[in-house]
Amino acid sequence: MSDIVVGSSSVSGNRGWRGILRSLPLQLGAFAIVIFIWWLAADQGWVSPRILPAPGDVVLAFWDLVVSGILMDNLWITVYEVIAGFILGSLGGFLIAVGAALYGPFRQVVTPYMVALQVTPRVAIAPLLFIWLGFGTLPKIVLAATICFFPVFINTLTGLTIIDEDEKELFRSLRASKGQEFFRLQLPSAMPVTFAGLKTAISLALIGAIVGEFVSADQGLGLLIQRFSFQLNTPAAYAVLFSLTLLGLLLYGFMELLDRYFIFWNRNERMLKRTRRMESRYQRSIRSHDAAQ
Amino acid sequence: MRKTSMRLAAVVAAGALVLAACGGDDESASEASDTSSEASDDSSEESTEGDEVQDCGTIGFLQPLPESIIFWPFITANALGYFEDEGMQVELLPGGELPETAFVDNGTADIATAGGPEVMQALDAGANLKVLYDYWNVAAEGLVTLADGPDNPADVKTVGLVTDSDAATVEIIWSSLGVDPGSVNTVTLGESPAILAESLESGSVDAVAGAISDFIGMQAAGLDIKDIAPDSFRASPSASFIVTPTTIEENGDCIEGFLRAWAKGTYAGLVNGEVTQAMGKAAVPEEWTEESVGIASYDQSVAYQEPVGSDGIFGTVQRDVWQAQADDLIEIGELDFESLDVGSFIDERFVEGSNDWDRAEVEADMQAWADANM
Repeated sequence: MSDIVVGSSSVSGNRGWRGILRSLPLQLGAFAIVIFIWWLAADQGWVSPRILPAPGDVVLAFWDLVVSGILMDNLWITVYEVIAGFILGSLGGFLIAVGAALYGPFRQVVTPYMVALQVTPRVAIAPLLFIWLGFGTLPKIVLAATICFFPVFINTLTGLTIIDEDEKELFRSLRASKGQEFFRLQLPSAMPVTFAGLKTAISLALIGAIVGEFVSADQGLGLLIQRFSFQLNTPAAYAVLFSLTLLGLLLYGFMELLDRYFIFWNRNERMLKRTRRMESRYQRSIRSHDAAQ
Repeated sequence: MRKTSMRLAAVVAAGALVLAACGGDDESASEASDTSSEASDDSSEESTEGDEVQDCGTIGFLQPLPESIIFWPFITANALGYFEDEGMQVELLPGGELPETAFVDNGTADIATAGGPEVMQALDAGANLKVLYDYWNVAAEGLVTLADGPDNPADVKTVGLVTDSDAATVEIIWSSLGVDPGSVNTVTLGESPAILAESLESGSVDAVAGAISDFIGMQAAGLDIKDIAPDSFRASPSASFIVTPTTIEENGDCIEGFLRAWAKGTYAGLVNGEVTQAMGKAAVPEEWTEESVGIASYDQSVAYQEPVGSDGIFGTVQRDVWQAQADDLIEIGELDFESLDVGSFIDERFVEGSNDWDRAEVEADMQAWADANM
């Protein structure tokens, strides 16, 4: 039985990689077409190089920024603002959602404020944040936090409150305590939705940090884009822009990895692997128990 | 157990990040001080030996741009150790589009540069501010056309505005020429110099109204442009140092020290452009990824920073220009005052002290820096 599980798990895992490899040529082909059209537009002068520089110029500018250390010096500032804002916002959103899910009166009080915060354009309050909090990284972190807060809050609240009635009934019939119901039923049910919110939140945190850097900064990728735009150094501005895109993809990919690791019950192959481990542990304990006897 | 320790580590990491974020300002202040102390020149340190240096701590200084060769006195004064000589570390607060007056009024910044209209509008709104020193003596705004374009604003049919607020530039220039501002078409183009340059070259607009920073990139990219704003419009201080009366009372000596370091830094930049550019390159390398842009930025900003009078005194506040500007703002309804005596907020007590230094010493400091670093 155990061997069969191992086999199917292994096949399932390989199938995932095979799927990625199968779609890779298609994706690379699409990417090459986009780059070719871009190159053609620049080469034929369809668009001014001040607006759209040639891909080669962007690559050279990117390389210069990397070699000179300018890109990395500014990248770390932005990454720090994004991560700190994300942790602050998502932790706040998660905790308030848990409070709102567990206590009805609290939910009734906070939900309108959360929605009001969400519908208020954060770009408009960015200057106010600087007046309230001063300069430095703090206002950018808070801006990133306020932008990425809501998806985590609303997803967690939804996940915690929409529980299958039959499952609830089962827990009650087994005389589960409130704590057991929360940690064994509500939280596991909510986590896939919460992680979906977290993946949205990390992208929004990046936007928040960049908006903050556009308002006021002495370092950061947002400031670099502004500097290069004002200098009409368009290839360098594009190079920083693509660095931001890459950073966004990496952050999203990292959240995707966390999702695959922590929310194992949401993916068959991960669930099977885990079951296999638990089974083998169980078999070992049986064998050692028998040997002891 | 492993899970618990991972959770604990995550919580500790989150807390550390948040705490570090709260302490961000102090860190940046200390980083700024490290940079300035590293950049200090031996010769300037020697000049203060034996003198009693006041301890001003960290002065929060707000300017519209992050560190830039356009505002070179901050760079030169830092590189030559002039702020340290005055017993202070200066933390630069980049204001961007934020209202400088609000940050001085609420105490976030000790001192800031602001333009005349902004200062008077803040006074109109109840802020208590004093203007100490005119730094940029020429209007930062302008009206540019291609080099072979019209010389007279009256011949311009369509003006591209960088932002909506540049409509005021058009209104003031056209009114000063006795031409109805309504006779010219305006279109807001946004802040991208690429779009501004394209619009001018393609003939979509005949002129662009904006600020010096909008024009520098266009010039550096090889676009031949000229400023056709009349002289009467250009004679307007666009960056003056402002503080609150409380700061003057409690920290007057330090403010004078700051202005003295600034005046020395301004002179250093005027007297030796090559060394100033090298200092700029060392302080803000990202501004020099295109050498021509850095040089154009320096060249463009020279005219703004030269002293207005023939006596060569830095910081002289042009009361007559301020008064004319106040009267104009009242006339067009931008200020609610029935009348405004600029003497009520101009305070030049520090101008004399800020010019009390030896020019030959500054020149020697520049040479010493060049010998050590170039």
